[in-house]
Amino acid sequence: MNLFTKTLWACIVLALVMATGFTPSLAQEKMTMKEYNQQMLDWQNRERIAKDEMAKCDAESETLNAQIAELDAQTKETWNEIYAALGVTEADVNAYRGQLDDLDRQLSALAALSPEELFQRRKEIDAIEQKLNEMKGSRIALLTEMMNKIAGLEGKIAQLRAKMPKGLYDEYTVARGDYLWRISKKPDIYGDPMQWIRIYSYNRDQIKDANLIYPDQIFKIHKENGPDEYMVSRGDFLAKIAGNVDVMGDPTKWRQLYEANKAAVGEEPSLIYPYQILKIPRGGN
Amino acid sequence: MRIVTKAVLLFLVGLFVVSTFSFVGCTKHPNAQQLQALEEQKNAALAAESTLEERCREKSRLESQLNQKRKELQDAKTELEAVKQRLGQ
Repeated sequence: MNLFTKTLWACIVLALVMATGFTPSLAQEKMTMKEYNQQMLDWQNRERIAKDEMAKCDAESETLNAQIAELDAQTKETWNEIYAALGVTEADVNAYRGQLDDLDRQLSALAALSPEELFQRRKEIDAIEQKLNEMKGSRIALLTEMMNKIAGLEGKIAQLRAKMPKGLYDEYTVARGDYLWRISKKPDIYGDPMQWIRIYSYNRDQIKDANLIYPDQIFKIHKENGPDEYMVSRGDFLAKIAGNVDVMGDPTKWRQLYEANKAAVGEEPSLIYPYQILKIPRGGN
Repeated sequence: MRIVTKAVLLFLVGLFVVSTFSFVGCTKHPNAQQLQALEEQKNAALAAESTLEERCREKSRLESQLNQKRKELQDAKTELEAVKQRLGQ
């Protein structure tokens, strides 16, 4: 192989190497110094602008923090004025709030009960209502927050009372040959024929004449007094019943009691019978 | 023949040199150290922008808090008036 041929081959090989090896580097478009300087300048500018903005932002945040602190102080001062006007301390208000929250929890627990269970535990509702009424006497109750809480609790109590049955009773379907005396005597009713008047007075809407009852009539069998009911005991008279604290708490209101039960008692108010169920008029009714 | 060979050889070498320059070029490029500096500058700028974004968010939060505090103060003042009125009743 002469020099010419060798050189020719070397050129061909080099050309191939350049074609394969250098072409990719062309695709990468290497950065020129001009581009480099431009990019460096751009990034430097961006950093400078960001830092300038940050300084402004920090200054504004500092001003905002100062304004917040000032408002906090003014708010605290205003609340102290409120407490002073009421003659209480912040601790008193917090304790009062805690008591209301406690009553709220108790009412929520009661709300989960069935109407019958609720009826059995009606004394607890009474106690909560009494406590709430006592708390309403405090000056702290004049705060809007407390007024709203109290109104909410009163609403819950009203809902519970509405959910409660008016009395606890079973039902009995009259069979052929039944009469009130016989029904009352049944062991699963009262086991005592003398209590027939209890069935009679409790079902006045269905029984016009105690001697006339019909098969398939469904009677309510009174088991326990509801909040607006009273069962007459031996030795009772209307004034005595009206004077009972659970009834009207005032013997002079016996006429009101009589008027509410005139249909059951009859024309003679002094004549009432043991086991008779009387309705207690509430709310001036 | 010898002259022709040399001429061809010279032409080929010349062609190789010209083509090499045409591919590689004679432009100046940044070196590795400069590229490193550019990368660092880029990272510093991006970090500053990210921090700025956080500060802006914090400022927005403070603005909201300030509005809330203004409302609280206004509510307290209203409450004070209401309590005074209720006490007077």
